[in-house]
Amino acid sequence: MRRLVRSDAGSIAPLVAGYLALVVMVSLMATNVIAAMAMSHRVQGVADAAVVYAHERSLRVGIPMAATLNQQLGDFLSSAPSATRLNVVSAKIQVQGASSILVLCSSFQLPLSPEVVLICKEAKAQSFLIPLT
Amino acid sequence: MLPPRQSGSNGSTPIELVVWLALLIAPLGPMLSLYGQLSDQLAAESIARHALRAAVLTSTSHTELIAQLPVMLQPLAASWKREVRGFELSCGSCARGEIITLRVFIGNATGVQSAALSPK
Repeated sequence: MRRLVRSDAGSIAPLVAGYLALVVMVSLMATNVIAAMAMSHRVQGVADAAVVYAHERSLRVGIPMAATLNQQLGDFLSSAPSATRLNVVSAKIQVQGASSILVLCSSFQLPLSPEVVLICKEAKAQSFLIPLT
Repeated sequence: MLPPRQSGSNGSTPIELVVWLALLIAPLGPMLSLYGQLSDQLAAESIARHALRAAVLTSTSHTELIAQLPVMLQPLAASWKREVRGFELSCGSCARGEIITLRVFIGNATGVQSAALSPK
């Protein structure tokens, strides 16, 4: 016949250490996610402003000129304070009819992680005619 | 011969509980502070981006843009439930088509965005 043995000896330390590890891990993840979200706002803002800036300055009869577009994009990314703070990895701009489409990628070092992430954002500008009334 | 294995339940559970709970709560302080700072940074970046974009799209001159900005910032700050400590607009020579930079300050965080009015 087997007997059920019960004992209250031991420590709650492993349990608390487990909770502690969980809290720290969740906090680290949340911090990195929020920081990446803040940086993605910056990248999207720079992409939006850069594509409008380059598009407006490269138009010829409503169509953006690819060479001027690239040059103006380079000017914006090298002189705008919001862009110079970014670590821009690539900026690819292309012309599709009356539209300019920019894909801007920036690398970002997460604050509480050794990992470096790449944030890419797309922005588009299009010229159109406003009918005169 | 090996010594007999000893086990016991001496000690105080309340003390152990208090010590471990203190250790559990200790990292929450700095983490909450960091979380607050990052939330302010996120709000500042978002407000700067949307305010400048809206001001640039609705203005035809720098004077108009400067007048528009506080109007744009107010509802954005309210939607983030944050108080904008101040903002700074810089535009070099402020000639038409020049790059305009908006800095929005919330708490210790600063959001920066740049844009330009149409050159024509």
